Amino acid sequence: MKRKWMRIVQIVLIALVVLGVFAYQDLRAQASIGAGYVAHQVCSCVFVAERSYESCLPDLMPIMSQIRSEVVDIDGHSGIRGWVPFLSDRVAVHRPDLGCALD
Amino acid sequence: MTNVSRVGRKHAPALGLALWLTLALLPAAGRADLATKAPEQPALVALPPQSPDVPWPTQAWPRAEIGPGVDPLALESAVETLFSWVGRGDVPDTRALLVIRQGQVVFERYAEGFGPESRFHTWSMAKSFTNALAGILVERGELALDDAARVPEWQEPDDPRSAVTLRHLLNMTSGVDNADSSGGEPDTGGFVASLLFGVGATDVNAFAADRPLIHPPGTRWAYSTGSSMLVAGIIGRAVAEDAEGRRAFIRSALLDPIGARNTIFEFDRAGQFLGGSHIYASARDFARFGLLYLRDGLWEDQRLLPEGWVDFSRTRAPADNNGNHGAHFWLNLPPQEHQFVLLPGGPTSVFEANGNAGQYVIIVPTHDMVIVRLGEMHSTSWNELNTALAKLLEVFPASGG
Repeated sequence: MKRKWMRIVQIVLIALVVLGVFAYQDLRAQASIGAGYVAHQVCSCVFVAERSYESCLPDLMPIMSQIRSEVVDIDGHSGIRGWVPFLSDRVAVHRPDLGCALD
Repeated sequence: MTNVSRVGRKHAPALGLALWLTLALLPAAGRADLATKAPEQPALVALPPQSPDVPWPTQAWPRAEIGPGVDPLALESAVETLFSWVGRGDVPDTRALLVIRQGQVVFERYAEGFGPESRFHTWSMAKSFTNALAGILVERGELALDDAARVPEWQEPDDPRSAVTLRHLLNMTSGVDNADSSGGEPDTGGFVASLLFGVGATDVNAFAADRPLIHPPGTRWAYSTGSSMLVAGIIGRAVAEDAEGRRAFIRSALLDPIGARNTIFEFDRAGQFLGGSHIYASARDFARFGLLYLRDGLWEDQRLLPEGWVDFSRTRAPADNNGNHGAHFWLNLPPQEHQFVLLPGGPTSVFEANGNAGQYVIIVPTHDMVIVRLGEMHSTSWNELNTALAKLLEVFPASGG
């Protein structure tokens, strides 16, 4: 009887781990899209539309506006970093006359 | 990443992002009353020529009084409605409204903080600009509508996608599984989200091309930012080797001739312009673009678009499930599934560039008018905006009226 219960617990744990891996991968993919969206949209808003960083944030979709972002300088090029801690980190870099592009 | 200097930040994680993004990018998908088969498209209305007495706006927009036949109170009421929706940041959702009548600016207004020099995001209105660049290359004999689409990944003779033509891509009837609402990889809620901001963003052409054929080309309509990106890639490869060369072509072939000096195309890391989604321009430049189509592709003494190109663009794409999409332009015809009513009660001859969050370039041949509305849609809806814009158009009499 004890062995049977041990077996059930093992199966449940394995199933939880597998589900967790899938959930984490899906979460990472979604976080990557969200971070990419924030990085690109804010980059274009600041460096192409030439608006202030602060004025650009309310235009993000509400659910996205909670993703962290900051202005960065990468080897002399301005850009925006968007990230979700532990899940995704994306940067959009501005190139004069060519707009912003996600790395 | 090197040399990172921090200037500002916001906080907290977020989930369910891609689904939101997909729903937001689709222009009002699913808002149509469904019909089993679209009725016949009425005969195309003639496009009005530029009056010899009105200068082309290549340098500056000529301005005129609103003129007789327009009730100023009705106009004020229609405009106030459009600026009455105030969104996040206490800024009106409508940030720019420009009305061109008979080739002249008769009304122009901006929300506080915005002005004639402000650049606004096209979102999907970029697709209509891509249509123009394709037309220019057809006019020059460098592309043909019914030739196989020059997508490098599709060129093997036994690849069924080699049957897809440029016409199919512009009509969004390619049959390739790269519609905005397709599953995509990874499974994050929609193809377009991955294309623009996910794993596809560094090379949108490769990502949009790497999808299977699921319908015979020319038989099914599906809204596809990926198709627009592929057209942009075809154009880009045809004109130059790199982003700088492609930018120079866009400027010399389209933007400079119409005086659109405040328009910037964005490019991905692979050097292709984001012709499905990312162009920034001023309201006046958007109006120039609309006037180019209202004038049948003519500008001053130059034909920029081939004869018949605008008619092709405003003719319903031939697929049973398509109600009101032409060739990278929307038509004011009864919609089908996943399409939407443009201007309720407005002339069926209206065609428009239309983008996420309520970006409009509305071309009205019967009234010799172009209406540009730009901004956000924080506190309003497509239905409210479409109705308000229809009310604005009602204020103006048809040409000669």
